[in-house]
Amino acid sequence: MARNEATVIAAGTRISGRLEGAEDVQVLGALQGTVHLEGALFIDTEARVDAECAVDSLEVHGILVGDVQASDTIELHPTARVVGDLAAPRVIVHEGARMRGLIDMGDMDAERAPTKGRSAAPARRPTASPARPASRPAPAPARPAPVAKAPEAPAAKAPPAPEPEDEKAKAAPRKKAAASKKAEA
Amino acid sequence: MANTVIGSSIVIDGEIAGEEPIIVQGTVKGRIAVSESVFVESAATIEADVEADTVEVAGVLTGNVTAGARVELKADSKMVGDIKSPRILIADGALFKGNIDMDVER
Repeated sequence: MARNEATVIAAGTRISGRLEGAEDVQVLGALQGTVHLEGALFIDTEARVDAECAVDSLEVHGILVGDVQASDTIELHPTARVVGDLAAPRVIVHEGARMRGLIDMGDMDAERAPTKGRSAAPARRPTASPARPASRPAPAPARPAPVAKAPEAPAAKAPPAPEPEDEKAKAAPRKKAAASKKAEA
Repeated sequence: MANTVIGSSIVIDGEIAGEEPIIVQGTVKGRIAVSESVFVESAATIEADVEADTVEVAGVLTGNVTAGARVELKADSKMVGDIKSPRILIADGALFKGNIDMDVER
């Protein structure tokens, strides 16, 4: 059977609509719509995909606009440009990759969280935060009254901010400590 | 340059356009419009209007075909729809129902 001959969308080809299947798909051209694959989706450097994707794994070298749900791995290579929310148990972001959107690695056990979260966080934070200011100020009111001067504190220590969302609870006291330390200095 | 290949397990519902040859092993519904050739392989199912330079059908095609150069229906192919092309070949064993238009400019 020709089953292992992967599907290729060549550079000069544009597909719009719904794509479904149980094999790997390599995109060198353009793909628009929705993608449901039991297999890997590969987006080449010159390729552009505007689609909601549900795949086993995803590898991006080119441009991707749309939300992705992967059951295994999402990997953004240095030339990747992504706008959309990514959900997968493993998300790998290489240096140089740019994205705006949310990354969700699902339920994390406490031991695994710090290493996993941090490796991905610095790469996406700078682009992610301006687009979603709402997500940052939200925790502030939740803090107890003593941190009333919080507004100036975050501004002062902006660089070390990239903490994974899931650690916010844990991070809050640490931030407070850092803030007071800074205040003393 | 690599051809576009639509693998056997793939179903596309929509439109394919481009400047590359397309090989279909799976299923395509909707429309195919390319400036090169379209190969419909024996396991493939096409429910679409096809515009291309050349079209070769070994599988099942339902829809109208317009080719700039040539349409070939191979043995064991099935096609329902109209064909418009200057050259049309229908092999022994091919099933076809539809109009043929070889209205060449002359």
